[in-house]
Amino acid sequence: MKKTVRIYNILLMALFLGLIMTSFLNDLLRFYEAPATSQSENRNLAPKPVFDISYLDPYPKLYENYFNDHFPYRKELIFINTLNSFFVLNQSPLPDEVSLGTDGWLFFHQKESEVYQGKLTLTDWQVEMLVRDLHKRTLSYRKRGIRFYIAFPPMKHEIYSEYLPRTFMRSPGGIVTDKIVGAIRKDTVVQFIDLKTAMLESKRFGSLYYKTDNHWNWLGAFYGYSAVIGRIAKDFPGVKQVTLDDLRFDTLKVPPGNLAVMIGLKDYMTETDYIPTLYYQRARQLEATHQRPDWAKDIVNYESVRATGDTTLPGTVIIGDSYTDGMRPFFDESFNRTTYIFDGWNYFSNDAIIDDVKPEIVILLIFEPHISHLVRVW
Amino acid sequence: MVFHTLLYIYLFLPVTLFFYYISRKSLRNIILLLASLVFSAWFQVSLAAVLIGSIALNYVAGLAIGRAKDEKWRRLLFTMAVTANLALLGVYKYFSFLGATVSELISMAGFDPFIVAEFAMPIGISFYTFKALTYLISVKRREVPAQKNFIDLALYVALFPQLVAGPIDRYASLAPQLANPSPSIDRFASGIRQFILGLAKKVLIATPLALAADKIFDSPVAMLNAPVAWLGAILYMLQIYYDFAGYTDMAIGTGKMFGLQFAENFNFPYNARSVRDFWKRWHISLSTWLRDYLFLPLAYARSKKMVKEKYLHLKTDKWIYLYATLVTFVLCGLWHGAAWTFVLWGLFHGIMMVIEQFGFGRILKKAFKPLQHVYLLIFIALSWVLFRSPSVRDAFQFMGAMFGTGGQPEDIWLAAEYLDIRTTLVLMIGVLGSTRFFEYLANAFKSLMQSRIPIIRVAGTHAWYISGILFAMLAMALSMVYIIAETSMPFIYFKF
Repeated sequence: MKKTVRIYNILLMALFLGLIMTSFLNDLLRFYEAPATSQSENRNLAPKPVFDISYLDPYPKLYENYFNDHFPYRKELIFINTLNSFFVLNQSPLPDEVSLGTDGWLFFHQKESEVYQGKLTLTDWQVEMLVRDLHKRTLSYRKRGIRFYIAFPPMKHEIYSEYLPRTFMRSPGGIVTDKIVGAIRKDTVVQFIDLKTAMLESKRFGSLYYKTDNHWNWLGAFYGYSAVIGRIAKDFPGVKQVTLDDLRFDTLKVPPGNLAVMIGLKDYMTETDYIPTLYYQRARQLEATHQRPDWAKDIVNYESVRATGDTTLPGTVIIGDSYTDGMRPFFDESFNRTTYIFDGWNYFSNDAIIDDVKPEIVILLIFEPHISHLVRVW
Repeated sequence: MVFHTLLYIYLFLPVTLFFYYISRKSLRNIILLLASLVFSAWFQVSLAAVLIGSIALNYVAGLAIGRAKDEKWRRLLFTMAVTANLALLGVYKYFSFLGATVSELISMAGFDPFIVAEFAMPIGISFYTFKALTYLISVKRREVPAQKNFIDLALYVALFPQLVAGPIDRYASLAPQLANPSPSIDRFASGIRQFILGLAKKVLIATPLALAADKIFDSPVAMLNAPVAWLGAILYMLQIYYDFAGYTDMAIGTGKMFGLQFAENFNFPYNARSVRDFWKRWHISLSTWLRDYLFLPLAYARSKKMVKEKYLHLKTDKWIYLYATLVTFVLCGLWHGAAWTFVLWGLFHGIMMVIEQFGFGRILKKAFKPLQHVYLLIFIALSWVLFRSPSVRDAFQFMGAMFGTGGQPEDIWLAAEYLDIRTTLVLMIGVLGSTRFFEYLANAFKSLMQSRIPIIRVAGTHAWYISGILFAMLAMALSMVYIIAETSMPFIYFKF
């Protein structure tokens, strides 16, 4: 009996030691070569850190990142977990990042959830400072003959809450953006355009957000644009409003969006999109000529310019984020010259460009969860 | 570095085992000590200096106490050494907490509050300080001679498997093993089994439970109702058990691989039928440490001062028990974390211990056994809410939700929404595993190995060991998949 037990114990030891030696065996036999980048994670894999005896504190963490990223068959093992979580357990493979809603809808966490569940809050003083800042900004533009409009593209959670998991509830006491919008509405100077109401009213015309992405789709962007341009047209009647008569939307199956990619299921999901085709297209790309500030050096597409050449139309500068991207083809046609600024979610006033371009209109489009970025003093 | 990481399992452990076993016996403790220092430094290199400082302090202090002939001098040296150890713990663990408390009191009195500097806490400081104190007390009580070999003492204090979460082995039990470890194939294999079991407890049970519990605890109270809040408390109750017990199993398993036998730390704590019983089963190495080195000395010192038979119509021994228990449990809470939630958690347990001692325990013993279990489980679930919550206010709000003050209608189906397939499965395994169910199952299987019929005995033995290996490898493989999945760090925007 003792001999049998010993044999099994040796077998267990051999298997265990063989398993924990995988990394060394790979170093020796090179049966697995880790790629330099991870497409599914949208990032480069961690490089091997340099051992510097004079600065040791960060080394362990950096080395662990490198070790983890280059572990043999990491990508494949992550994929097994993804398939098991999604197809067997009906769970998000990355529950901290992405939630599975009903009917194939995915919802992004991080700031969007924090806002929706009421975890991100601002004090009355912070909200007051934020509105005061927008008030000052409006007056400052007005002195230069510019009309300033603000709109907040709403997050998917707010428009399609019916697809959220039931455990994922909107804060019953209201969310931070309610508080900010409430305060902005009380200010008679700041020109606020309510996109949330517009989107909720427009959702009967079709799906306005991607199921597998945290952005609105082309149709959603069009209705968002319509709300903004409709408001601007009240002050600038001559502005060109792109309407449904000017374009058609083709329904197409397209690759899934960023949330499907994040959870590693881009090959297992599809997305429906409504691709707009304008019956006319006057706007053309111009070269962005302004020198970037130092802090914006790493930002891709900090400034881009489109112009129709129609001098009867006003010029505009739009400061926005990825939500603005879907609205571009429509804005392009509405103005003489449209300058888009993406300043890495800072939403600064970007006065250097504005003073040089001298637009008649400045539009600030901030994705709802990012409104708190305007609070510069915490 | 923690045990359930790729780095520990696939780099640190094999490298340490390799160098340990190819070295001469006289060098093995040096290898283990070096590994322990690397393990400690991995959290923050510069903070490993605190561990080295603690070792040096206790080495010198131990020798000085051991050599002192005069009892007064011996006591003075001991007091100085204990004070120095507690000061180290105080500065790194409690300074910010005390400073913040004073600052808040000052601001409540109408003065300007001040900002308190935050110290990064060296990993395992609570554990290695208690181990060092054990050594000093043992030397002072002449239970063991002072350790002359610096390496052996350093290894006792810094031993990497015990560094992060214990068990807090007594010097008298561990020192002889360190001087003469007894590795064997059977012990090594037993260590592998316990390590993998611990890994599975941590990764396959505690982590998914934590995910579900966090979802509930992180929700504002307005989004909870009583069934959801109770579900959260139960999930956390199991999570903390499997987390800690799993980590302890990995520590004990690692120790066995190096020929060391550490003390067991858990004995089915949720099978207890009273708070007193619970503390005999939960974190046993800490509870016995507190009993021997805090409660009993406190009670003894108090008994010397309280000479009357009764005070305020209460027997003196009850006063002594009350005092020593409450102080011990408040300090026990504070040892777990520098926050008022932990202090209250300790106090909560202390008060219940006193209530049980003062008569409730006798009534409880006569009650229907399942009722005793229900009492204990409700108490423990409530106490863990204090432990889990970020502030006392949050804890009481959550407890309120458990009793119907949450913001949602009392609809049990809301709780069911939190129970996805994985959470339900893990919850069921977790509940069964916290009882002796699997032990009975294993014993029934093992009984085949004692069968009188030779063929059944032989087949049973093979089946037992083969299934054990298969279970271990499956648990290891599944744990690896989850550990590797944890290393996935996707970005929504490109970070190339």
